[in-house]
Amino acid sequence: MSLPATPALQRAILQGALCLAVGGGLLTAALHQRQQLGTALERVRHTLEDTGARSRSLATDIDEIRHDATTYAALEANGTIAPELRDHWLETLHAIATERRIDDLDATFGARRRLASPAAGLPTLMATTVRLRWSARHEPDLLNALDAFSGSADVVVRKCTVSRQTDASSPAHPGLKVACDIDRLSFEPPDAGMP
Amino acid sequence: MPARHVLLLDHRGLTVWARQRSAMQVAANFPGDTSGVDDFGRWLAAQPGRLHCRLLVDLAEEAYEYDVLPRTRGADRRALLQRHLARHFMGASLTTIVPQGCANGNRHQEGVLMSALTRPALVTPWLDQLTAQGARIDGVHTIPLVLDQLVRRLARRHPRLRQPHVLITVTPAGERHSFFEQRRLRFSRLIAADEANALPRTLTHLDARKMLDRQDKPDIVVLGPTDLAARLAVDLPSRTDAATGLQIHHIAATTDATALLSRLLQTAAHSPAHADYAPAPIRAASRHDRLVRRITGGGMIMGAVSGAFAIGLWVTSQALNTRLAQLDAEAARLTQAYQAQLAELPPLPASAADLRTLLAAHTRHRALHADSLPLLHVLGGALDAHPDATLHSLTWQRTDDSAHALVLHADLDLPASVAHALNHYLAGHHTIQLRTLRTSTPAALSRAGDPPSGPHQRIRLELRAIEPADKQT
Repeated sequence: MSLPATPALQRAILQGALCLAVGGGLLTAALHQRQQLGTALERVRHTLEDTGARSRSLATDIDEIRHDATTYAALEANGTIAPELRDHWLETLHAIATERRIDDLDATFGARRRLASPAAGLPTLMATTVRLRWSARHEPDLLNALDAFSGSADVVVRKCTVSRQTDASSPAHPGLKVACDIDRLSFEPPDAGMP
Repeated sequence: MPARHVLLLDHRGLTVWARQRSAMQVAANFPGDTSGVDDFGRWLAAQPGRLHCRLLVDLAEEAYEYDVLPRTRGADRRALLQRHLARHFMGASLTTIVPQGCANGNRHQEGVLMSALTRPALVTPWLDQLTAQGARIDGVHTIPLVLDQLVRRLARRHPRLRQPHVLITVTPAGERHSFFEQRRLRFSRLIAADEANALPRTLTHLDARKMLDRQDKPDIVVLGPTDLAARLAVDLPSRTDAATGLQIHHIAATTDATALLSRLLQTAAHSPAHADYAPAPIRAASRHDRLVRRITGGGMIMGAVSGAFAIGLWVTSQALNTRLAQLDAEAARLTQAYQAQLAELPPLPASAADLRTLLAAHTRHRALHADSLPLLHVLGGALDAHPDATLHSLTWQRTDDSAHALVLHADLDLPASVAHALNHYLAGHHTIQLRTLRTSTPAALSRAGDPPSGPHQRIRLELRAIEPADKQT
């Protein structure tokens, strides 16, 4: 059984479809708005969590960061962060030796090497191994000279060998032969050429 | 949606009843002659919009036949019913079929009440006017078939109506006798005003149609004014034998004929469109109207529901918007606080993490400094305590893989008798771990002028700086 597609029926279908379209459009718009709001809420919540976490982390680390900044500033101030002035330091070592009445100081420089990978904007930590040889009359002289050499720069004493000379009876010859390997640490500024 | 108007057609003419709130009111009356029909046409034309109505017929010119048919479906059923209609009513144009469910308790058989308005000429002029004026006709019904619905409803409260009974009603058209079995209409007739012995004749008629059980007389139920029941109770025993033993019951559902009519009109207005006598074109037009209304109404309802849902979503979105604004403000406040914390920091050459990595590397290498003084102090004390021992050589170093273990090797020349005491002295210190690596034989170092303490020997000692706790373990 079929009904003719009368104008009234066509009009009804059109009206029904129009109502449905309007309602569906409204619903779609509302759902879209709801979805956008949900996305925005999620983004803001994420921002809140991220900022909160960073803020808490900063509050925890702020003392350490301050300490690091102070340490770095001190290194800059005492000239540790500077191009290596090898000759200048060698002169300093000889001056110390003269002051300590050491007349046979011998310094042999090894290759300069990188100790840590450089980060952007930061200097590179470098080390130069130096072998110092000299003669000391007594053990206190040895230790005092070693302290003086160590204090002349950012130095790490890695190894020392002290041996007693057999002809120590002669006062003209010191009684101890000393050989020390020391690392001179330095920071190569970021804008300087790397070796 | 119920029809706003019910048109009651009886032998006097047509009465237009209009639904106003919950009551039915007479809107117009038209006599049953040609002028009445013409007046009705003019009245219809004067109505604003299309008249939405049902035609309710209360005429004596009606016929009812109850058939038990095999249960069929689809085209077979339609053909079977048309055959039976044609057989009973000789091709009458205004007929209807009322399915009444299983017959005789057999689900393969179906009881069907067939009915016809046997003088279409009394009805069709009115229908023609309605059609001509474009009225929306929901259906053409008769009073007995409206009673069929009313009795099923009343039977819930009145047990008498659940038994086979003859229902006597009175409408403006006159007294009507209707026979009900199993709560469904089987037969009905309108009594003429001058008809004598109407009830016995009704019973005789039912008996002739084999509708009555000869042993059990049906109840007589009066649905109407109280005086009608009283009159029947007085008149009945004196009539015929057929009426002997009949019980007359009155159901006080109505107080007068007008009240019953009003109820019938309400039932007709609200009942679903079934038992429709309308000719096929009017039924098709009615179906078409219903379809149009359903499509429009359905679209509007769905549109309205969608719109309401959208509004609900929009309203709840406002709360979310507020929440979003609060969270945005909170995020801005937190970011500002974070920026303030950062501003308090001294200027850094790079990120804090990179700076920390660099300084940690520096500290780590600084830790490799071999500070031999504590070990030399211990060794010096041992030599002071044992003047016979002579230091030959010293070596101390710290390697990359043993940052906390400074190792000092000392070669000592000393009398063999002193070696144990010196070892004992050194081992007494908690900050060193002592190990004798090598001992030469005394003879190797013996020479002239050895002290009285005996021949010398050379030993190599290893002193390792440790934490006191490590030594205990």
